[in-house]
Formats: sequence, structure tokens, C-alpha cells
Amino acid sequence: MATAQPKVQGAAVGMSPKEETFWQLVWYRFRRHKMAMVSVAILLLLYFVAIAAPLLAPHDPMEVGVGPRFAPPSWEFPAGTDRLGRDLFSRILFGARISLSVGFVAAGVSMTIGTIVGAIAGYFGGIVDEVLMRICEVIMAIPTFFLLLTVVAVFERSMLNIMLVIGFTTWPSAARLVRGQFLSLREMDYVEAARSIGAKGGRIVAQHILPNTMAPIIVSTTLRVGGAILTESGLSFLGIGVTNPASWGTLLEIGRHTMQFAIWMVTIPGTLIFITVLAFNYIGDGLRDALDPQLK
Amino acid sequence: MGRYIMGRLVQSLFLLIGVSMLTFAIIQMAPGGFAQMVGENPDATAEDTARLTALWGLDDPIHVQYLRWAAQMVQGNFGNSLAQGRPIAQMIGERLPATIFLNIIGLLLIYVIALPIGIYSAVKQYSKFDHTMTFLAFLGQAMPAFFFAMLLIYYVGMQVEGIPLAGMATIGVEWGEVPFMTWLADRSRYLIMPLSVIVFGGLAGLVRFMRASMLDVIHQDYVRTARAKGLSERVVVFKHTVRNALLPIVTSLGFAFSGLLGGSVVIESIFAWPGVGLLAIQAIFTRDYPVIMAFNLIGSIMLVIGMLVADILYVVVDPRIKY
Repeated sequence: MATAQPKVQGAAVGMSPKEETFWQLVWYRFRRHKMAMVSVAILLLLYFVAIAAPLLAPHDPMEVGVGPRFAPPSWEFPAGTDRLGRDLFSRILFGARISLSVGFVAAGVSMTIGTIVGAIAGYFGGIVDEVLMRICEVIMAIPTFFLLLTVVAVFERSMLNIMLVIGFTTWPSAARLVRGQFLSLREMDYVEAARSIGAKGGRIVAQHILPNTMAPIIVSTTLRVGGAILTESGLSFLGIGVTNPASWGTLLEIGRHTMQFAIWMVTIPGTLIFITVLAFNYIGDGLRDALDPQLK
Repeated sequence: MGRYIMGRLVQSLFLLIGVSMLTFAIIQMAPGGFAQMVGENPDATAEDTARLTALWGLDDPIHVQYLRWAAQMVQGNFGNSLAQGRPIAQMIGERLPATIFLNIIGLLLIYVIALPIGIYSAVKQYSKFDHTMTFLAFLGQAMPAFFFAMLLIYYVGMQVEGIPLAGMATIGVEWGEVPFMTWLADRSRYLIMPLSVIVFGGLAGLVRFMRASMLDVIHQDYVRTARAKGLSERVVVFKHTVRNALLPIVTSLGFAFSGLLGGSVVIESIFAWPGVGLLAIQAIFTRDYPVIMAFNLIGSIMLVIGMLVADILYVVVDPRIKY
């Protein structure tokens, strides 16, 4: 007996060194997705640069004539200069603050409204569900870009408004996602068990159902951040985005008019938008694999 | 089947009523409104503003205003543009053919190119071809269409002679006035740029969708049975797998068309393509609210019809679904 026991313990240790939490497992699986890890590194760098923009920028982004007009990228001006001799590198650093925060806030707004509406519809069902889903359908029946343009035409085009507008026009798809999850989870035995021991509705939703819908919510949020950045840059490109300070999309829009002799004004902000969106998509992909291995 | 279609028609009608209410509500939130825009005119007196307010019925209760507007809409009267003073139905009618022409050719090309790639990717899952295509599709989905358009203009359009970068036709080259081949060559040259951007934009998503749908089917038991009884790979793929994998794609057609309509706002404004997208962006800049409202309605009517047709097609092509 005394000799057998350590052996058993040893075997147990070999199989799982310590109790692994769900998030440790997720992290372990996520790390194996190489592109997602590279994307995390790139985004960390971009967000650091955005936050530290005032410290890193060699010039004031609005200052005119710090260099010659239309100077191509060089050691002195890493991203070249524009029509007014402004330093594009500094403008891009400050533009990162706009582009990167628009994505997060818009995705946050979209997902928060979507989760609340979807949870209410899915949990209560019946007439509440009917009414909320019909509202979602109406919003989704207008081509998204038209709806966006309409709201943008009506309200003042501040940075906050652009974020809110993107959030307010894209939440129905999130609501449908969460509702679907709630509908199936609400019928599960463990929810029935919780109800039978007298748990109240709020507790069932917050403690039992919501945590189990986290995987698709997190994945969808990540993809929405990339989507929102793409949408904002599209609006900016049409000349109705965030202009002060200029977002990456606006910088590209300014650059397109003098493209013949200053192509860097288009390629540099454009590539940054592309890389950022790609990184969010890869992270979303990695998270999907990590959070729910069965999904793939 | 008849009852199903009737039910869906009624449902679509309510959807469109909802859309009209939402659009009306958004426009009502605009600070000021029509009368105040007249007020911004320095020559307008207080009496002018009051007279126009009474003339347009802007002091009526909100539901009366909505019903009056909706009644006009139902009769096909979209009102007049504030910026141009012309009937909106006429303005959109002039522009619609150019947009539909561009988008239908684009849609056809997207499907013709994307479906075979998606199918082949799935059949050769995890092959070099599959990996390359999946990677390219991932890149394509992150690439903003306008950035792709800019690169195309700079690296192709500006380098190669004879590719027009703006417009739809050379002045004077009209249908029936020049030989058919001249007309065709001219229209084709103008199509190269905008069409490339449309096709690029739609390709990535559809390749991924087709591949996923194909993989769903290819792992089904009846496909294994077909293989087990010795059918040739060609018959298994084309007769048993592709036909079923195409079903979800049919449903996507409805969305695809209205999606292109929104996307063509960007493409038409880049290439000065004289379609409805260009009109829409002008309306946004001039805050031409009646035009914007008409756009939302027409856009949703097309989306709703697209979904309806897709749903009916789905029943027609899939004998497993019965109503």
C-alpha cells in the first residue's frame, strides 16, 4: 500500500500537473495559432504607438511646413510629407488613436446592445421575442451602408457619433446570435435544475446562461472590431468620416487626390488599415478555435 | 406552396412598413428640418419660413406627416429633390440602369470565379491549393475595397494605355449610332476598373462560403455511401456533393445583390460611374433628405425582394423542403 500510493500520485501528476482552469486551456490552444499570436504582437505594438503618440511623434501633426512639400519617405520623414509640408509619420501616429479606438467603441456598443436585446428575446421568448426580432429584421432590411449614410447625414460627424452610428446600425446581427444561444441553453437540464431549486430569473441569466454564451460573443466582438475599422475608413474615404485629427481613412482620402506624385500618402495609411483588420480577423479565428474546438 | 408565398409576401409588406417608419423617424431627428434650411437662406424672411412650414404641412402632428408621406410613396411618388427640384423617381430611374448593368455583370463574374475555387478547395482539403486560396481569401476580406481600387488605378490604370479611369462611355459612342463592335469595345474598356474592384470585393467571402458548404456535405454519410459503391470521383463530386452544397449559396444571392448596391456607393464615387450610388453620396453631402429616404426604401425593397426570391428558389431547388 505504502509503495503503491506514490506511483498513482506520480501518474496523476504526469497527466495533469495541476488543476487547469478553462482560460488556461483556452490560452494554451490559442498560442498554437501562429498567425493569431503574430497578430496579437502587431496590435499590441500599434496600440502602444497610438497611446504614446504625443511622445513618439517628431512633429505636431497639424503643423504646416515642417519639411518640403511632397517629400518621399526618408530618414528625416519616415512616411514622407504632404501637400502642406506636414509630417505624415506624426499624422499617422495620431490617426492611429482615432482608427483604433473607433473599432473598439463601435464593436462594444454593437455587442452590448445586441447581447442585452438578444438575451431578453431568447430568455423570455413569446411576444417579447416576436417584437424584438421584428425590430431587428426591419433594421437589417435596410442595406447597412445606406442606413449608415442616412444617419451620418442627419447627425453631426464627430468621432463619438461615428462610433455610435456604426454600433447602432450593426447590433441586430449580434442580437440574433445571442438569442439563438439563449434559446437552446434555456432548455438545458442544468438550467431546469437551477430553476427547480428556486433560482431567480436574473441569477439564472447572469450565472448560468450568459457565461456559456461567452465563446461566440467574444469571437463575434473581435471580428466586429475589424469590421468597424473597415466601415469607418470607408466613410472617411467618402469624405464623411472623422477628420480632426484625421483617421487613417481620412489620410488616405486626402492622399488620393495627389496620388500621381505622392503614392505613399495612399499606400502607408491603406496598408495600416489592411494590417489592423487582418490582425483582428486572425485573432477572431484563433479565438474561435481556442474557445470551442468543436466549432471548426 | 401558394400559401407559403402569400405568407411571405404579407410578412415582407410589414417589413417594408417598418422600414418606412424607421427611415421617417431618423430623418425627423435631423436638427431643424426643411423649414429651417430655408431659414438659413439670408434672403428668407420669417414669413417665408412660416409660409413654407404651412405649405409643406410641417406643423401637423407627426403621424399625419408620416401617413401623408407614406401615401405618396405607395403611389410611386417619391417627391421632389430639395437640391435639384426634380422628381426623385425620375432622377433614380435615369441612374438605375448603369448601376444594375455594372452589378449584374459583377455578380455573374463573382459566382463564375468563386464557386469553382471553393469547390476545388474543399475537394482537395488541406492541399497546397486549398491553403493558398484560404490564405488569399483571408487577405481579401481584410482589404478595403477603396484601397484596392487606389492601388489598381496607380499600378495598372496609370501605366497601361487605353484603360479609362472614370465614367462609363466615351461621349458620342451611343447604342445604335456606332457599329455594335465599337460600342461593345468602348463599354468594355470603361468596365475594366470598376468591375475588377467589385469582383475582388465579393470574391473572398463567397470562396470561403462555398468551401465551408462543400465541406459540410462532403462528410455526410450518403457521400461515403456513393464512394463505397464505387462511383467515380467525378460523379460523387458533381452529382452528389456540389448539387447539395449549392443550396445555401442560392439563399445568399438575395443578400449579395443588395450588398453590392451598398458597396457600389464607394466604387461609383471612385470611378465616377453615373449610377445611383453616386447620386446617393451627392444626396448625403447636400442633405437632400427626400432623396435619402427614397434610397433607403428602394434599397430595402430590393433586399426584401431578393430574400423572397431566394426563399422561394430554395423551396424549388430542394425537394426535401415541403410547404
